[in-house]
Amino acid sequence: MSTPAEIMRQARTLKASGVPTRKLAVLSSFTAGFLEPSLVVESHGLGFALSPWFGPFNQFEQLVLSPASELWAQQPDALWIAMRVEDVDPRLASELPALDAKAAAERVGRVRARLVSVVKAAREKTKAPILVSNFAPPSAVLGGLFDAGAPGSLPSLLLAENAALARELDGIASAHVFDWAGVVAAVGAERFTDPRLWHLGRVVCAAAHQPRLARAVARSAAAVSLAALEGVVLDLDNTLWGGVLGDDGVGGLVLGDDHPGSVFKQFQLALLGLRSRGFLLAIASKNERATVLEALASHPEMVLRQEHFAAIEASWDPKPLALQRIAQQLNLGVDSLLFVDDNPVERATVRAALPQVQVVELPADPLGYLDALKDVPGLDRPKLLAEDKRRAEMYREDEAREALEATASDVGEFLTKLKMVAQVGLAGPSTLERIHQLINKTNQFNLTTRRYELDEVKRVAASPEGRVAWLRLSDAYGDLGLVCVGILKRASGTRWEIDTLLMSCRVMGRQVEDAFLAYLGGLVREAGGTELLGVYRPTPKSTPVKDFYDVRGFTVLAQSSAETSYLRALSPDWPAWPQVIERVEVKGP
Amino acid sequence: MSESVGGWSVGASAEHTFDMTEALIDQYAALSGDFNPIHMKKEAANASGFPRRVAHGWLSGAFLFRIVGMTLPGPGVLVQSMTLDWKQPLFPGDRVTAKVTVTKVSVAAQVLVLGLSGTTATGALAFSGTMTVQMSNELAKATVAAPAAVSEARTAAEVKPVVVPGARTITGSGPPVLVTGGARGIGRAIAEELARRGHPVALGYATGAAEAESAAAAIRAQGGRAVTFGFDLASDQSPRAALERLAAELGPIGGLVHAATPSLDRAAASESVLPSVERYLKVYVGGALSLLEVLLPSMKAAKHGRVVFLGTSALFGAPPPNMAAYVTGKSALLGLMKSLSVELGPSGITCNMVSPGLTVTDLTRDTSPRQQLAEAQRIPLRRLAQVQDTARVVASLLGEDGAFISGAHLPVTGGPV
Amino acid sequence: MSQVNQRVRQLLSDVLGVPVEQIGEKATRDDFQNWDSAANVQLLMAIEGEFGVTLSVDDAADLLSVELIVAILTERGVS
Repeated sequence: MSTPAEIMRQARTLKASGVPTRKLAVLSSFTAGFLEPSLVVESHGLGFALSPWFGPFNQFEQLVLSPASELWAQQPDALWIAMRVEDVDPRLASELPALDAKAAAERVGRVRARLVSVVKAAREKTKAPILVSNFAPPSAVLGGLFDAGAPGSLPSLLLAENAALARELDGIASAHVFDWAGVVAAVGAERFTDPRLWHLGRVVCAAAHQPRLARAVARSAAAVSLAALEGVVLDLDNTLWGGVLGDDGVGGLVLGDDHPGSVFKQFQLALLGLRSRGFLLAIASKNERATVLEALASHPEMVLRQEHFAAIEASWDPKPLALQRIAQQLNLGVDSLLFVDDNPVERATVRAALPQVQVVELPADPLGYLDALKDVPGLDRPKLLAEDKRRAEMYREDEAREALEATASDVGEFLTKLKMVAQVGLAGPSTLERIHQLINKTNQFNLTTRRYELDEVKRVAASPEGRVAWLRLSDAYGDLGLVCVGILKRASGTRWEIDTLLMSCRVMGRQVEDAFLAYLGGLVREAGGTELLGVYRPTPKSTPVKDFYDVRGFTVLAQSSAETSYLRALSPDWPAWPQVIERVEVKGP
Repeated sequence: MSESVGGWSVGASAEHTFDMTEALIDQYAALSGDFNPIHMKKEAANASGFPRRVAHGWLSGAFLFRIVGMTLPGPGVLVQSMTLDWKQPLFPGDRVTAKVTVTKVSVAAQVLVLGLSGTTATGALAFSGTMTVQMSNELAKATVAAPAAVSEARTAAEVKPVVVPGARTITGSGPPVLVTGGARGIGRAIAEELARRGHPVALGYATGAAEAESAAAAIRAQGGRAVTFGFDLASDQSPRAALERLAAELGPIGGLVHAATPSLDRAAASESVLPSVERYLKVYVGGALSLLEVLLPSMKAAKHGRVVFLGTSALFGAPPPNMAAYVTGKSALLGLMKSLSVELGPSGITCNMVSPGLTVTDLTRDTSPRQQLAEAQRIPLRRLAQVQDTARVVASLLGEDGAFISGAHLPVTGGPV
Repeated sequence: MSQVNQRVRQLLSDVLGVPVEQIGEKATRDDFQNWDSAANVQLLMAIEGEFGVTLSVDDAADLLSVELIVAILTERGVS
């Protein structure tokens, strides 16, 4: 581990290196400047270089409310607001035990209310993501041995406050909990603060733990600023289990409840956890496919079975090829894949052939695998939506659909047998988050690839001159979730523009886009419109939809390298809703 | 009434007339090293078209400074700048009148602007220029009655030399002073400084006669007058006999500097510290009282006496821990000083305490280098006290500078501590 | 110059962001505008990390010059 002086030196070198950085503005109830060297070093280490700016401590409202404040002059790319109860209400812990339950809850709630109002005020001034520290329980309260079990005690109230804070932040666009309490707990409340540093300079974090705190901040800032990874591609031998399947056979694999097999079992459990968070697991292994399937099916200690993998590439082909096939099969870009392999040669091959793929540097000892994955940016999703939690399941359902497609005599029969039901409706509280997510992550089936903040989407949805529409699909095999988003804006007179039209590529080729276009057409007609203006803005990833308007009878209005605009009149019979999809229109939120 | 600085207002003037001679030119050449032939040899001057040897330019200018330095405005003046144009050369035999006239006064800055001129007996202008001078209030206290003509009347005060700081020759004279603890450290430095200022001094000591004798010898070697005075203030004997012998040798003792201290005794006030306190009180308070009992009658008779006690910066603010006996002793001495100053004032006797901060002396030997460095960094002037810092203040109190200071407790601490 | 003195000057260089050549053997906080109380806390952490010592709050208040820091370290047995 680096000494503090070394960190300071490294930070200076990194700052002079000219690596592009993002500005992280820090507002805190303590002197946070001490974290600067660690934040610089740790964020560079994550590949998400930050240049932190620290507001004078305890000046939240002053900095946030005035548009001319030093804070906004920084034009921050991200904010971190760290307000500690013990700083803004120093007498709280001492006076709380004397209060009745209601007064105690009110007193503690005041700090959260202040914090949330600061976050809301900041939200009005910037679109940058905001990280908000939650509250850590106090350490070493005199006479507080039984506080954890007492309903009105500070530890109990703070737990409730953290839950309330999370709920309130959930309603504020791009505001996220930074798990300060988690860092304090991981270090230990008694060791987190060095009393000397606290009394000398209001430094809240002991020197030894500053890199850890800084890394958590940098990771969180990266997670709320960057697109998350989508898939984790795993090697098998000595990665998911110990031993070599081809040599040792299924019975010889090291995997179980005792050391050393327990290490691999724990690793598999952790990967299952990632799957539950919406990451697709895939296998890229140099093995016979049949042997792999047998091992997954028959080894009694196996945590991850065939059903848990969205794609299995078991062959003797080079791994970069396997990764490309997996990306294709899962409809993902290779840049959203993480590659996990114990073999340094394979890692180097993938790095060289597919530099966009993130490759984890695994240590030689399997005990270190988990730690190696812990700090991978892109594995932390700030918000888990219903679609995320079901994603892996949905890919399984896809397999059933594929089986149906293989046995159907033609496309028509396949689509009919799918028994698709599409719900359509206008954006409301229950759909906005998902709409926002799709707008910002859909790359392939996306006509304009315009990214919008949540507030922007809300504004258009509320305007009489705009419509934000969605389509949710389910079929005989399961719920595919909200898969289409369209944003309509009145261009002029009776002409409406399709500002945004996107669809999850998982439902491509099922006429869903036609159903959605029909719905959009109906909305325009209802609003008194007579013609639709369509725009295609090409990106390297959006080629699947380059002919979208051409094949649907639109005529080219204007064309440049940046965009082509199309026009089509809304005839009474156009666009028509496809017969193979049942239509359910949802009104209200 | 028009504005004035140092008593001078616009229009005031002073002049001085002198004869330019070959002797003056020779002296100036010797002084400055300017032996240019045009000044030194008639032939060389002739060759350049001048009838006689040409006087140095600054030689005539020097008479302007005579006026400025001695008469207008005289002592207290600090010359800031001047310009001078030489209109025509001066030669031996010329009678020249140099004149200084006040042309501008700035009260706020205590600045005078002076017009300068020099005319020959024929009325020809030899040189002219301007000079800016500032009046220093301190230096202005001493004025000189000058023999030159003064256009405006001024009160002439008695002549006094200005004390030049840093001079190390024995200057002036003063009454004999007994310095207790005068054989080492701050006490010795005080004795040396007093001797330098012309006081005969007695170097008091309790132990270490050899050390005291060598300190006295060092003073004598510098031209001062010093004797040693061996007496243990911690004893119960009266110093009367010893003091009478001392007075017989040096003359009536007119000043007492009480710098003696027992060896440092570190103990917390809460421990059994009483014997230690008594030891300090015996030397500090008991010593002062037993010495004064003998010395005061002659001081009272002379209507002149100076008493200075050495204090400590621990008396300002919070004292360091484990120094209870020392701090208690010095505090008692402070109380004694205040009472004495009230009671002895009518007899023309002043009494003061001078309290230095941690001083680089023998006593600091048991302070660690780290403590000394840390202490220095806490002092606004960023250094520990030197013995001389205290010695000069004490010596001033013993001399004319201290004539009207009594009952004062003076910090020599390099700034607020 | 002692090795401790040299290492202390390197730490000061890291904390203050000043080239080590510009930090004299007798440099004090008066020589550098940014040698303030915040820098002193950084310095405390840097010194502890470099020399493996634990300083007291009183020691921290005395981190005022190169010589003083060396003297404190000497008291702690660092040489």
